[in-house]
Amino acid sequence: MGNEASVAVPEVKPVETFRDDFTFANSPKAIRRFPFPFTEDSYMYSVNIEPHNGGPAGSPYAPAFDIDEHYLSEVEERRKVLAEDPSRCTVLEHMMPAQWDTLELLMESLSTDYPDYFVLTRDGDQWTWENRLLGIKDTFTFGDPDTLPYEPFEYITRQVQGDFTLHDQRDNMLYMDGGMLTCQADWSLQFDLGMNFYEWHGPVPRAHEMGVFERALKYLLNLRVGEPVRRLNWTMTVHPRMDTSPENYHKWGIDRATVTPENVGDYAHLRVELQSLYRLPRSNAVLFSIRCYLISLNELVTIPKWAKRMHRVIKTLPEDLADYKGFIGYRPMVVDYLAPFDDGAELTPGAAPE
Amino acid sequence: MSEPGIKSKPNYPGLEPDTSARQHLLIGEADGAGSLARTLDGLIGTANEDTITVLYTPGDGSDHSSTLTAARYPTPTISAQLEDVITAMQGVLRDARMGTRMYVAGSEPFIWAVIRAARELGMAEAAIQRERCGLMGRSVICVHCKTTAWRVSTTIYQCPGCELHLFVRDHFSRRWGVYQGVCVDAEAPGEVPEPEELEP
Repeated sequence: MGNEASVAVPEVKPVETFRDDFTFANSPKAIRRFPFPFTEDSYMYSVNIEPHNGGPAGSPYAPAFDIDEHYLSEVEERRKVLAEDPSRCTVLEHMMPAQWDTLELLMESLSTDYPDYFVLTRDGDQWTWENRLLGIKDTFTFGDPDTLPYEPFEYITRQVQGDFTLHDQRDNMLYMDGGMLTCQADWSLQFDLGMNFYEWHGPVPRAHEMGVFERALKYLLNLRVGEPVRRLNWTMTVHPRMDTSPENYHKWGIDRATVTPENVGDYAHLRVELQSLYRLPRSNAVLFSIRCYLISLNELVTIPKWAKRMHRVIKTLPEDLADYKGFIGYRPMVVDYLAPFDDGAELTPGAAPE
Repeated sequence: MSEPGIKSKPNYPGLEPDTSARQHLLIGEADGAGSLARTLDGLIGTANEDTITVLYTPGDGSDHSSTLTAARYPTPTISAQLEDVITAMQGVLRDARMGTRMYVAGSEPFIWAVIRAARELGMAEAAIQRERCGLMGRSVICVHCKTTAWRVSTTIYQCPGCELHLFVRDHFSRRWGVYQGVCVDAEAPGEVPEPEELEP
């Protein structure tokens, strides 16, 4: 878990957009703390799960749930997506205890990691939540959904960056029994709702045969309260578009055909998910946090080590993975763009920018 | 353009009389009557007739209820449509004992609607056998406009709701009993590949 000493107070920018005119950009500080996922010069699936117990000061690994300069922008983008499609937040009825677990975990973590921004006051079951970034101050009765403007899960996840899913555990299996999904990498909560762990990962190539999901599930079934874990996942996205949902694929899919050698540095973005998993204490459910970070190639190459490593990883990525991740069409342009930045020098191990 | 080995695509092993079960609930639609009759033939003589319940609907398919009304079988409950079958099934399951086995035979959407309702009443999926028969083709939900198309038999079809051309994925939702359809020409509008026959 994060603690006050190691979590820097982020300077939150005014609202930028993840659609239409795409005004989103990373400050130099945000670039340096980007969770670059490649620790080696090539990439293949692995069960890359480690304890989520903090990290270097100022890094996205330090707090339990990372709040950064894009906070207001991402909250606003979520509001827009939900206004168009309220089903992006759906929780099955039997998950109400897990909803309250989530609200408690997020409120406790945020108020501990960012006391300047979030304040939680408890008087028995009368709780007061203050979110100074959004100008919210609500008093409610813990356990009584009627005292909040939304159900507890939706109420709190509307105020946090990143997607969340809720997983019930029954008969040695995890089920997709709820979620808030507005910045997902091309999968549908509404369709996958109620699926078991193997079913919702059904479309992922290779990993089943490699036994990755079997090992990951075994690990997650034994997840313990207070001992969260994390991993990174990645893909590529054209434009800083958060909502790359299958629901809207007919609107954004065309973007992939607009990449040219001239605009690839500006259009192509590395999309990284910092995924963390928590066992919830009352419900015994698992909360899955999928925190999404975007960085354009132009921004990424300001870190020389990342430019070189990214070039090597993308160049050698197996075809089926590039296809699954949706950038097989413009991969050659990404490789050509990055090639001049790569002198072939041996790189230091790990993903740090140096 | 295919997605080999998607793990959410269900299989249908067929019905096998389980004489160790204490109660038997057989549910069929249309051509599923034949499968139920075969299962009954295997049960009668070993299982007490009081422990066997048969529910049947012709649904949108052909009516084979006469197969099940033969004198040697327990009297079936025949309904006009799926909803009535589910209501009858709920009545049976509420009074069900431990060791109940379900046998479901019919079209894919029928099977999963029955299984979903049964699971809501606490039946384990492992205690529900399934056999797919009768109307083939897939039910597919458009991920964009949520319109469900019935009996889709080609890899690509035009959504009756939003008119987009959709590719039928092997990704299957047991909750809804449907496959997922996704816009096929989003990245190259107008370039719709020739539809091929879809494996059922």
